[in-house]
Amino acid sequence: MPAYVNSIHCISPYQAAGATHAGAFIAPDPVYTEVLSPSELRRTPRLVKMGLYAAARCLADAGLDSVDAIVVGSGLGSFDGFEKFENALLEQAEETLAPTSFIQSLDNAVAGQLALKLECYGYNMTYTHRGFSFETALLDGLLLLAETDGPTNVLVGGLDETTPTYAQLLQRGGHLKSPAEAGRVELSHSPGVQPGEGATFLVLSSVRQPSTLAAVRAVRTVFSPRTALEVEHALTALLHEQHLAPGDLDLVLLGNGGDNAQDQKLRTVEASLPGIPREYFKNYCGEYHTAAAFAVWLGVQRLSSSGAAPGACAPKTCLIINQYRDVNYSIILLTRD
Amino acid sequence: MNVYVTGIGMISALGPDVATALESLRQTRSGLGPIRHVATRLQGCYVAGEVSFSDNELATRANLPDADLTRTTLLGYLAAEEAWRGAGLGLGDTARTGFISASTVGGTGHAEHYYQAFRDQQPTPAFIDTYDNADSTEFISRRLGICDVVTTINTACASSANAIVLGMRLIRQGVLDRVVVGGTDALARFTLNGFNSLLLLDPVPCKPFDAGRKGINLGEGAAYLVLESEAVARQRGARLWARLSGYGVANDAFHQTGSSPTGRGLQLAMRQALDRAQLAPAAIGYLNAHGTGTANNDLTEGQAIRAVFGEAVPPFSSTKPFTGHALGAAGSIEAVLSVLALTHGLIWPNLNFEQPIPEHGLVPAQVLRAAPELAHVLSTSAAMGGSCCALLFSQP
Repeated sequence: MPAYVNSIHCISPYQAAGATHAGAFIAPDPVYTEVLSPSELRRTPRLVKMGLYAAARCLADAGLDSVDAIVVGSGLGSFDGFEKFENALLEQAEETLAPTSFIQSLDNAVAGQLALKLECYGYNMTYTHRGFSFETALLDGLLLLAETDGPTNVLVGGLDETTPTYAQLLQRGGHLKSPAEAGRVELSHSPGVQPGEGATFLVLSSVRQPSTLAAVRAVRTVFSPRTALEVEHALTALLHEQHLAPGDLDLVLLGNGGDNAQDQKLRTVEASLPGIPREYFKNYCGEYHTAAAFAVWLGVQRLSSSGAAPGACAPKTCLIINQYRDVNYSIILLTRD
Repeated sequence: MNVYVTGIGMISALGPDVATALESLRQTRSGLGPIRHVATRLQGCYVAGEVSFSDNELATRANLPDADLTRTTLLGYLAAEEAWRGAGLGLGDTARTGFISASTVGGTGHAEHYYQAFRDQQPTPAFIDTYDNADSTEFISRRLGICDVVTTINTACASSANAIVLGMRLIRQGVLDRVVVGGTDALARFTLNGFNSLLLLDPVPCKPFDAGRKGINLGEGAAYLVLESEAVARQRGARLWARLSGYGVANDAFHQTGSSPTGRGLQLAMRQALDRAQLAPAAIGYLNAHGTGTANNDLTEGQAIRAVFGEAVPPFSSTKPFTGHALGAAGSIEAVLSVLALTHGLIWPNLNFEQPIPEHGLVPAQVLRAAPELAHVLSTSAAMGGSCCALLFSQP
């Protein structure tokens, strides 16, 4: 069953990212008033706003008023909601707490609010699994389209935000790169990553239409491989199933995070794909749980002639290989529709 | 392709394993009691379905006394290990095998232990590394040696029911042959205060579907099921507890925290499950309802039951007066209780019921009842954010 990407919208730090960039990659907020009423703007936390905005733009681009199913991935959900409610709980010694931030702390707030807004009574799912959050959402989208009684249009999203407190906790946990070492991920010789964020939504459909941008051919995850060989085997199996050889790939988007130890296996996998043009997408978006969603957006741009890298022909086949903390490895295959 | 339940494991307020829980149910002995293990001002204000062991006791039971694990992980590991071992599986059985877990609380209980110190700029352990829902999933996957499809669902109180659905779909589409599915959640100060702020907690044992119901008793625990394709299960001669014959997933799309007057989402989920199993409503011999004990849920859920079953409502009950509402683990705990009902031909009573809700007049099963001919059991879950899920278990 083909899975067409009929539209995709991404809020990301991409535009704001310079050649070198120290610290967190923060996505500039879009003009939310384009899709949210003033009252929605007031009572909606930022992560949900990002999700609602990206989803609304995505639906408009696909020419849809609603969808049949909603599947969202978010590694951390609304950490901001946790922080606010926990702070109130401590400051007020568990007395007379307002429930708003508790409700906002629920990880399925984005998918739930989208269902409300789109009046979508269909399948609704939220995955919260680190570097598999978006990947499982995409896999679920593919499963849904392949089911005999399945939907036609599935809204698939991946989003996470880096709040100041979360960045501080990452820093304390030793996960961040010192500003002096900031730089391109593929050249890194130091530990730590630069945190990022973003919200990406796409309409995955069993029906091709004039707006169709690309197709998602396959998604594969590998949990906690001991060696790069295990990732290479998964890659070989995926390409074999798709009747492709490594030489058929036109572009590889690699998810090196910039931590030299955690990137080791990915570097080995990369070396097994010589001569194929490549980009390191976390140079544009930073490291976060659902960075692969940004990579899908970038891949779809590259597959269209207008979004190809300067001076290059638009590729036809794009492979994304991602890793999160050397534990969550994933492979996504995109083709021009 | 048929999908079978070939293993079950559970730790809850009813006891540390399935056998103890079954005995508690047979004795009609509720697991609700005062809060003892969560440090909160609300201790003494509410009853809850706590697992009776401290974190250290859980770690000792799990043979992991030296690991720094959250309560959510310890509970999850104990239940998943029981299901895995009970299914006769080991390290050689991990090919084409997945682990789909669910949690809503994750390591929040661990994080809140250190949050004041963090606010005060004092050194703390890196609690952010265990805060998220995936922390327990990854620990358990590693211990069981599972690496094919590993993921975590959070759709609030329908989370682990939805994990069971994903597992079934992955087997049906041939992605996996075997999958461990379920969820784990520990009671935490954060969630107790959250539900308290929503004015949804009952200080005394809850009374689902009763006209005078006052709210929820929160609980904790974990439950996992091993699902296998028919071919793999039969080939290795696995014990077949039940056949997972249908499922339904829908969204109520009405309100962030309340359900629609007709229980539209639950109706959709129940009808989908019946359709997928190709069963008429009359085939259902027992309905394990969501039944939280809140004014809104039990009214709207009752209307959904009436809409699907009309006047011929099957024997039904909420088992939350036994276990408390274990949030992300509730769906899989109730799935295990549904499988046990099917296996032993028993219908669990809805404790504490006195008077029906006038709007729908539904009267749940009130005493333990033998039902030797029980063939199909439906289990439902509903959640904040609108998620609704129905699971249908049939005799193997």
